[in-house]
Amino acid sequence: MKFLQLFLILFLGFIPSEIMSGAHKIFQKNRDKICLVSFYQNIASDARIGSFDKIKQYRIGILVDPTGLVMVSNDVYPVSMDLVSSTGSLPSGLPSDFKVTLSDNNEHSATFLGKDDQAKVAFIRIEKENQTDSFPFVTFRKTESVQIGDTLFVLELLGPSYNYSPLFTSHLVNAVLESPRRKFLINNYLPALSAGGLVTNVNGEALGVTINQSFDFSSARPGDFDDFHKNYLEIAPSEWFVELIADPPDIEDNQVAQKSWLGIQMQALTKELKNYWKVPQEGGVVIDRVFAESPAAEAGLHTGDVILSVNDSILKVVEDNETAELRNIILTEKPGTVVDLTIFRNGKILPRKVKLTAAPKAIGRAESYPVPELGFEMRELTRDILYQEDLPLNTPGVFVYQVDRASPAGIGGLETGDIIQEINENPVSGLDDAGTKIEKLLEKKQKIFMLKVLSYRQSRFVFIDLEK
Amino acid sequence: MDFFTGKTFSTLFVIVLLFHFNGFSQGDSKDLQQEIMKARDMVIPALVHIEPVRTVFSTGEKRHALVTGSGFIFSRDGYILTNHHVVENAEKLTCTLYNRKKLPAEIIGSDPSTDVAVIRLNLEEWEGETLPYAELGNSDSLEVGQFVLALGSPLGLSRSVSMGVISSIDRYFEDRGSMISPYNLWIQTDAAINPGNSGGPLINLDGKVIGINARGVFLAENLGFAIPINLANEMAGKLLAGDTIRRSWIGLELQPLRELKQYLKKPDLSGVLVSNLDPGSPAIKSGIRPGDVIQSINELQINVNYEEDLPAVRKILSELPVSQEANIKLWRDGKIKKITVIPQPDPFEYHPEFEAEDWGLVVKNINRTIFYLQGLTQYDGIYISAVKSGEFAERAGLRPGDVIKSINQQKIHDIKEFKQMYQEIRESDPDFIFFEILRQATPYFAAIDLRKWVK
Repeated sequence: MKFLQLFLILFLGFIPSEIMSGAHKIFQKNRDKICLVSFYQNIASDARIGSFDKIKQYRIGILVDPTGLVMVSNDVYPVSMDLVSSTGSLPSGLPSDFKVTLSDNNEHSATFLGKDDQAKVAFIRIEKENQTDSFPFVTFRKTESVQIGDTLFVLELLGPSYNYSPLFTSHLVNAVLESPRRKFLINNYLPALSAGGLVTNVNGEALGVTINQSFDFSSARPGDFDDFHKNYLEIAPSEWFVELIADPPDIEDNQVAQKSWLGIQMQALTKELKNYWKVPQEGGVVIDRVFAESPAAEAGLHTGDVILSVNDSILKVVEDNETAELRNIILTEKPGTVVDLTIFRNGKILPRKVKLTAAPKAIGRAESYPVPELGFEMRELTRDILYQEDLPLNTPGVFVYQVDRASPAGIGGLETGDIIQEINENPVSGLDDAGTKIEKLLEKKQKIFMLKVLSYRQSRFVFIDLEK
Repeated sequence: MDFFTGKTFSTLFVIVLLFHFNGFSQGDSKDLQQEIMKARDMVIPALVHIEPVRTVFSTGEKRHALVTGSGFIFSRDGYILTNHHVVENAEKLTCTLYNRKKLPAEIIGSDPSTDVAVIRLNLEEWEGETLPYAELGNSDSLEVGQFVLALGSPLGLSRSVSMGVISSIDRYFEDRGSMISPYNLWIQTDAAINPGNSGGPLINLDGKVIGINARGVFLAENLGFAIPINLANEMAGKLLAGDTIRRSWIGLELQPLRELKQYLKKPDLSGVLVSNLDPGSPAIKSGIRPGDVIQSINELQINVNYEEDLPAVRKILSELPVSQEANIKLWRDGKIKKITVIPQPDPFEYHPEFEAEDWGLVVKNINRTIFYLQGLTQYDGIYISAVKSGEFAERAGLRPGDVIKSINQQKIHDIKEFKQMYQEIRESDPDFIFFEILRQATPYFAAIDLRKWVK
């Protein structure tokens, strides 16, 4: 216990003295389960294809099982894995060189396993030096009894200027949000190193983790903005991620959490639309678009249909930013499940059964093929791109994921986001085909490549001259 | 190494100066000064300061902004040439003439593609002397290096003259973003062109107008662009005949041939490379494909080696007679093919924005940039350029950037149909206004419940 004295311990906020001693015990009880995680974020370099700009990053980690499984914020890997998880997606490689520094100051190497964007957590595993090594860990309990006014303790780490020392604070639960997904808000008055801090109750039992604030600007209207100067700390209750701790996602094994999707774009049934269409229910989800070959398409849903309920839950969605409610219901169901929808179409109420499938993978997880000789990286054309560009699913081609600006491809005018459809007048069916074609041409010492590309549904020709 | 010290340096400096003014003795530079004054005096009386009262919705709130620009009278009966961007969306125009007289003016026609506009002074209040006007020169015979003056009227009465040379006569701007000028090249000059003298004349030392000042480049020095007067004059003629310029459309996007020739190792190939075909266009119907090389249009030989050659071809295509067969000769995989295509009117016709005041909405026709950026596949519909906060449209969920496809189940093809529908709804007073729109190519529905509103 000697090492504890090495750390700066901060008690903040008003804590009655009888809890105070208890609070310190809670801190002591959990301190060794919190660790400092460092890693390199690999942001695709636009200077050299296949290389990355490495940026060293630090996060708060929580040990969640005796074998050395560590839970961190999902922002360690900001790339969308599937179509239902949209994150700000820079072209980026997997994070690497993970190190975990435990409270005894010992540093361990670790490997990245995977992440879940809905639960907002990612997992890494400490590489054990001895098989018998065992780590202290946090066990989370259920949170259904948490209510406004309860006292919570938050154990985090401070930033680099405070040498990542522990930060321990007490809070009242200021708000409990039920929709679109249950979470707690507390007043945040001390900035910590990152999201991923441990949240406990007054008995020191773990309840959840702190997460990054979620902003949805997509449906914001003038006057909708909150006062951002007042910062909340958002807490994800343990229900978000306990199942993932038992069975963490693992990218290497291609075992990513299979997320269900319906395959629609949607809007809220506003009061005006309800009255205009004479829908016999307040609230609902209007289908704006049905993606081809999605569960919704298979079930025969149409643009303009109003979804009134899913299984037994009536959708009371009257504003666009509440449509996440439907998405969250779908996300709680496993792929393969059949859900019962009630649809309103042309004045009639129709039942529809929809068999959910796993959401197609996003470009971030697509197979990659770097072409360093020409200076770009291509990827298989994933459905998210085709849906986004509203192209038929059988559109042939490969997606240009990265272009090195000073390379022959960059000089020739190839751009990130282009879809290559022909190479030297020959149609390209897919990634392997494109790779073979380019390799053969390079072997034959071809000097000029003529690519037919599609971008914003407009075609053009890009000439890549290796002699330039 | 004391080469650049004291005497050596100043001697060198004098030599450089002499070299710089090579050819100008004391007398010559006096002559130049006189020439500048003479040219200036020929055009300054025709210079007008234009104050358009413009409706601006950029914040979603309608406000009148007073902007200023320049223009010049080019005919005795009071016609003025200026830029489209000076008079765009102007509700009212006031011109200040050389003698401080303020006259109202009306827009005769305006063309965003070439940034040329013609307005006419209301001469009812004009008394006395004949109206001064500037003579137009010939922009086809310009030479790089030739002296020019950029004239303008940045404020009511002040007049500005800046001098420079023609830096380039064939500047091309890629047909992307806001700098759209598909049909012409630009005169580049180092004479200062700024927002105040935008629309003013660029003149030669004979006092003849050779261009209309149009663009300065923000934060760049000595970089101004003017529209060649021959093109402006041609457009003015068309604008005087009708309020917009009707162009033909076969739906081709073109690329220069230079790189294809290198790729094919066919240095003698001539023509222009077809890169893209607009959906549903006459070119698609005629069987033209991306990758084809167009070699002649109605027997007129085409050769586009560089980007700078593109505007001329686009202009030829835009001037093909509508509904009349045009013969196109093209090269495809080493073989010559002859194809006929029947041009149609350009689906992207310009109309001034329209404000549906009761609904808190400003709309305009879809243009080519909007069409492709919004991922549209059909040409009908109108584009919402602004939505007033707190009004019907905004409450119904409409946003700037949306494309209205139908109102109350009736298709809206263009701004004329929108205006009609707007009028009908105002008169018939229905319970609802129901919009089907496209937002980034995805349908969206919006309804306004008029029963809730006190009218």
